[in-house]
Amino acid sequence: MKRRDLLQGLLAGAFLLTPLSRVVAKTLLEHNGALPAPAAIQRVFAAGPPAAVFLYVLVPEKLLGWPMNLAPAHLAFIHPEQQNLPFVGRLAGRGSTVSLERLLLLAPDVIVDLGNAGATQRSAAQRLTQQTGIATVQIEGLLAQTPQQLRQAGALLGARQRAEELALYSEQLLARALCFANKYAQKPPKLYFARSYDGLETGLAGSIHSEVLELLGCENVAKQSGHTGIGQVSLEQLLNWQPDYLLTQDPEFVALATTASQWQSLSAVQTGRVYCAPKLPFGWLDGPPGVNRLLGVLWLMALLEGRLDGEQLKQEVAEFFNLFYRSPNRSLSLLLALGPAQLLD
Amino acid sequence: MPQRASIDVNRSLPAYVKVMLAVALLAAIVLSLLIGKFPLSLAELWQVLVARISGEPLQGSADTVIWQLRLPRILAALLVGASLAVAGAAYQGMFRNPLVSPDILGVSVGAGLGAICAIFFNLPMLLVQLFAFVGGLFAVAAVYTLASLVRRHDPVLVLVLAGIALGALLGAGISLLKILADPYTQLPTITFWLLGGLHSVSLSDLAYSAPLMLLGLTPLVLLRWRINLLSLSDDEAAALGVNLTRTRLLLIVAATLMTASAVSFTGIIGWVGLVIPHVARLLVGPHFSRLLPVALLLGATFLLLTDTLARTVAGIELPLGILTALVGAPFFIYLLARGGRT
Repeated sequence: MKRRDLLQGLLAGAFLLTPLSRVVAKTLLEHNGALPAPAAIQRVFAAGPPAAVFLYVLVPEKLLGWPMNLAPAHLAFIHPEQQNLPFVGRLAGRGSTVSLERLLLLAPDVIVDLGNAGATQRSAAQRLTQQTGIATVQIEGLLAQTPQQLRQAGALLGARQRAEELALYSEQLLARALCFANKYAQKPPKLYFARSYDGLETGLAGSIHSEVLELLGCENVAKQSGHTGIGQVSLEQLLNWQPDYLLTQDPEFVALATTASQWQSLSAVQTGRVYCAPKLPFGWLDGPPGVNRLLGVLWLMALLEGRLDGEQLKQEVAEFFNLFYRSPNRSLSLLLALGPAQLLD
Repeated sequence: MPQRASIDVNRSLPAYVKVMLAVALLAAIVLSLLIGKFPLSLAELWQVLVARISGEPLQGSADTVIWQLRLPRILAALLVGASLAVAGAAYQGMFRNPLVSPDILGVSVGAGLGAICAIFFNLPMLLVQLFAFVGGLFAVAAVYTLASLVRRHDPVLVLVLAGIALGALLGAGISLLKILADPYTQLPTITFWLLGGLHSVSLSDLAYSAPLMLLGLTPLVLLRWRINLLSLSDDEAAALGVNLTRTRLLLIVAATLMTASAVSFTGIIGWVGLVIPHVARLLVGPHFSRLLPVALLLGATFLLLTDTLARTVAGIELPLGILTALVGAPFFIYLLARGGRT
């Protein structure tokens, strides 16, 4: 009997490892090593910035530290208990900045990474588990799958209730985004999302860097078939594309686009449609590509409906900061006084 | 190329070489004006050119594309290509070493560290360029000062070694900043800067960099005979009454000025300064007064053609640093193989 159980267990285990099982169970999680029981997980290490934002909103009390340096302006919107968390560095294969010894010293129950991992990343995570004995969890999925990510990770990390609360909010917001996208389906607005100091670097259509735009049914003018990362473009291409709006997260670029003569031929510049998205405490449109981008969905909807300075956006943003970031009251009142349009860095 | 320079200085460049180079350059300019991502017909192009020259510029995108984007970019490609190739030719002669490129004394790494510092602290574009320029000058000044403190060895060798050492140091600084930079926003920008490109060139970039590049080029043209002597051994040159230290310093200042002002707004563009001088030498021999014009024209043509490819072959811009090697290396190997047979 015992032997049969063991065999069944092995078979089930083998089944779980096959890609097919992931389709059947619709799981976005993939893990290496033996996971502790959900209630036993008290210490979680975020492998990179997207995972850190995710864990900060889902299981703040279990987050061990920040993988990125947060400036005081950013920390002002973080809950006091997580403001003082140390900067611990990130785990990214050869690009890691945390040493394995420091990692062992921090003694996390589990290491969590967020984002679609390739074979290199997967094998690095496997190796990490072999070396340190710490279980690693990879959360896959797109921005549109945020509710599933939250629920599945919540079940795994012992935070079902919190996860459900956040997932419900995300579901409603994503449903609104879908309605919004349908409204513009006939003639989607053409957007260009400028990055870098010269504004000529951009997240290409289909990349994780322009998910907010595409979620709302907008057309990302920068397309390159077969390539969905970050690319460089030229002003000549932009003149040819003539986007309706220029978006950025860099105030320096707004200054450049509104003053440099070569940018003045763009109709978006002539009509004053150059907008800088806030990036506090984390980028609203991108950087890192995590749940923080749900704010970008709210912001971009307001922008395209021409109510960026309205009360509605203020209330929506305050609600998000309250629910997801649990921002201190002082910074929330500041947020309401300033309005999200002025929340630059 | 450690061959001895031939002293028959009276032999000027063969006429057919001059004509060929000039025709190639003109053809490249015309081709580059004609093609681009913004579709323009020949007639439109002509109208826009004529209208602006006759003093009544047309309004609209076509005028911007030609006068604000394509022409500045073409001009920048010509100037940068010429500067890097000439600086490379001068350095290869001076250091008597065929593997030397214009960044041997650390100008590119210094510029890189400067630019990356500015990107790291989210500074505006103008400061990124200024930091790059100043960083390049500082690096070379530091290398020269370090080398002049060492008196026991061959001064040229000491210069190269000091350049390698400081280059490694500054390179470590670049790597450190790459590790510390935000991987989602700053790191791609840093990577693109290090790969080089002319996609953001504007007239204002040229307004400050073109005079600096020409300023660097002038002494090289004026002193082309004397630079030639630097490729002789120190004793021989000294016997001819040339003040080696002063000539060497002048050459370093000129080459650094050209390279630093080019790199400050293009990012690091490798390969041109290393290989174009070799191609020129294969064509006309090592004599600097003949090498200089050929390297200049070849460098300008080569970079212009490569940049035209960079902005037309794909839906997005390709980094110039990748294409210069991709296009240049096979051509160079072909030339080498051909030279070997004859």
